[in-house]
Amino acid sequence: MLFSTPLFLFLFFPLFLAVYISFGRLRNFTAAIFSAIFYLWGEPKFALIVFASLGVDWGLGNLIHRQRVGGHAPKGFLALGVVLNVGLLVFYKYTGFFLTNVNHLASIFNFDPIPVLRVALPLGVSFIVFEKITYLVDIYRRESEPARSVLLYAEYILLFPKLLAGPIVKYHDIRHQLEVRNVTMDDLSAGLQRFIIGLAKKTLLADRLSPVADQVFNMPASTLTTVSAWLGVLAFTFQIYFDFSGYSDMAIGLARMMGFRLMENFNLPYVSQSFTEFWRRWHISLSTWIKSYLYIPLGGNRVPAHRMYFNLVFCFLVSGLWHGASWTFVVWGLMHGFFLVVDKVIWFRVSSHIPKALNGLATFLLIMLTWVIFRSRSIDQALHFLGAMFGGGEEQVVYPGNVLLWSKSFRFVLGVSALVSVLPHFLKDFKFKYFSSNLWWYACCLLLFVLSLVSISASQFIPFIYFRF
Amino acid sequence: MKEKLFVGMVLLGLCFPLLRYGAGFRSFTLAGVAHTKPFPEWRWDRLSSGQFQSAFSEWVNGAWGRQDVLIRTNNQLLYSFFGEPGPTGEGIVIGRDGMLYSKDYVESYFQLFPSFSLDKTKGIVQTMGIVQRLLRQRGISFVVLITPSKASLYPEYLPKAYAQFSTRKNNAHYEEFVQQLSQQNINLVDGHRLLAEVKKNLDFPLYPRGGIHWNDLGMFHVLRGLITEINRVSPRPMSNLTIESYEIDYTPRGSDRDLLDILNLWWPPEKYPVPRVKVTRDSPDSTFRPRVLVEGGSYNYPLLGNLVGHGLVSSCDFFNYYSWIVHYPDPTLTHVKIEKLNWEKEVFGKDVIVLEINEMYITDDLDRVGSGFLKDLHAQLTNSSAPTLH
Repeated sequence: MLFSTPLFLFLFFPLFLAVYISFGRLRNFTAAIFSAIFYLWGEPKFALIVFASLGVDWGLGNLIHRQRVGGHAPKGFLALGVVLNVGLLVFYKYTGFFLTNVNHLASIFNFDPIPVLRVALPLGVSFIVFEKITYLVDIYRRESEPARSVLLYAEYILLFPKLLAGPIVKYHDIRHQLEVRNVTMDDLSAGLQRFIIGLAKKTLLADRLSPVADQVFNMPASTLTTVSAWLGVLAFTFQIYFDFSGYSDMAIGLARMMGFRLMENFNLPYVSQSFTEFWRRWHISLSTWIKSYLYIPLGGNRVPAHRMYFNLVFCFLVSGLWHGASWTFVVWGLMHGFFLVVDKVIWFRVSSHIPKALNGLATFLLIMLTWVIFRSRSIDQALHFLGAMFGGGEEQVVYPGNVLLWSKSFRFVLGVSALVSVLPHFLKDFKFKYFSSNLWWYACCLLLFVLSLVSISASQFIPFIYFRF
Repeated sequence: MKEKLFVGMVLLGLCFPLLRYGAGFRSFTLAGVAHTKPFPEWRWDRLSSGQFQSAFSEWVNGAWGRQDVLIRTNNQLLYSFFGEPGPTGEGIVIGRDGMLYSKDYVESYFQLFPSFSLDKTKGIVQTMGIVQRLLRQRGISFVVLITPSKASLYPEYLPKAYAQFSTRKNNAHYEEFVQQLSQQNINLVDGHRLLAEVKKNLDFPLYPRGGIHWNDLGMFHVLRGLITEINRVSPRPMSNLTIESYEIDYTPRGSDRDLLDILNLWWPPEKYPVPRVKVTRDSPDSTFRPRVLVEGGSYNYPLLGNLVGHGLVSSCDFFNYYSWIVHYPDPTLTHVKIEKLNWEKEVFGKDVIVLEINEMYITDDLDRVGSGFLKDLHAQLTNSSAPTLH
């Protein structure tokens, strides 16, 4: 159930809000139940495994806490919890990838292939597992006490605003809010404004760019021209940003309407002057999770330089794999790890002598190139695509989908996307807030809301001219 | 106060479809045919497999998501600001001066469909030659009618976006196919050539700006050409029609605006010239009124309607894509059961058989010529293989 669908907008959400606001004392119960329904709706089978796993985590969390209070270091319970959760993720997400690659190796040595188990990837499993790990680790580190009830814990994990695409919420950031929070008119207003901005980003920008990006990345290699390759990767660069950040905005807005304050997940990432800065602005909840729960336990910055560089590359290898079970994601992650090392080794020193605009442009271009790898179906395709971008493309255009690249609406949306993704950073004294009580801002939000509904509605009716056809 | 008003308006907007549906406002005024999903069947196994959820989602999308007011607004914004169709018109190309094309025709014109084998079309034309000869032996005239495509007759209105394909040999399929038909002496009415000549002396198009098919003037010119050819190859001439005059009307109706209607705009640009033609029947005393069978597509409806309406034929049957049959003057479509077709009565009992092929549908696959009708006709005449089953 996506947030930008009629089912969520016109049925689930109004119903939820009506019950949530009306039964103030039962807020946690309402949120937990509706979140469970939300998850059951999308994943009826895996949901039962998630519920069982929640019970196990809650039990382990209590055990860890009791041991801690007793002065012990319950590493065993923590390890068990982490292994069970990571095991869940590995089984559902990486089994097929792992077995396929083992079979490739086996074929080289003429061994019989292992039957590859096709396991459907459950909804939100990557986000759920990371949050479950934070719960156990935060208790172990004494940053939090366990949830007072399994219901509160379930509410934290399954909270529907952030369930599908984050932000990844660390338990210690939300624990107090689970127990104590109010919902004021200010929360409703600010939450709705934020939700509308996210909805507009998704429906008016991301969804308008995706047909072109999809078209270009699905083109046969023999029809890819240099122009179409660049337009396609530009389209994807902005599509992924507005899709992801739009969804985060909707999640933050929905949570705000429930009285929760979630962390920001994006902060104008395309104005970054380095890869290091990029990861402080892009998917912030993931990068901070990796820093807190992987990079720092590996030693962080407090180890010799060569070890630190290894840790960086390793962490981004994990990040790449987290995004998907494919070599393209592995290479994408490694590229980012590599550029982070380059930042530390040389770039920060060199870039201080380069104009900021050039810095920013160079960083943006490099990030775009990594998106080519991320979006491609295979390394082969990625290499061919990159080749096409730098002059190796076809000369004669024969692909009907190229017509899309000429579309005025696409070029308009591309221009607006570029502007919206960087302009706020350059407006002097502009402090971008996602909410305001200014009348013009309300009017703007209402206009965006209507335009978003218009766009959503229009995509629901694609008729034939005549039934005979 | 501003805050409460803002929150109230947004929540009202979210509840609007539910309230509208609950109040019984289910009317849906948009043009076009779309299948509406029924309310899904509830069963535990469908719920656990996720089928109920998908079906329910689709039902909600149709019942509540599809708001005609919003859809028209979206389409109008795209049309007015960018000159592009909305999702309801995704199969439409908007050309210069508001000329609308069906996208299939445009892509076919630029040969953007898969490759085409001239050797195979030679085989098809040879089959036509055999059919023509064998039908003549039975006293039946066989005529191939090529109907033009709007894109090939009026390429000058195509949008700039398609200029990138201009280096391709446009319309080669049609030119080569017609050449092959001529070489094999197939009885041919080349509608494209006919209308290209008429076009030279007109200051308005032979296709309505907002329609897929030709207007009345284009249709009557081709109908005259068809009757002329039938008379050339038939033992007895039938009456023909003469175009006496036409008046320009600026209120297009019906199929003159089918593409325009599907754009589903608030303010469609519907003032464009449409000729209303006056015809008279030649040789009113002519007693020969043939029994005619036509196989083809939707271009034939106005053609056959006039053939019958002016009393030029004694009977007229139309195989629409060899799947539906119309027994004129009854306009009802009946599904054709190929395996139960009485060939002797329904096909070989005719005086004239016309195979209509649009330029867009010129193919190198015999199974697709006349939607398989040519292959079955050949088989029936030569008794060599079973009919094509659809």
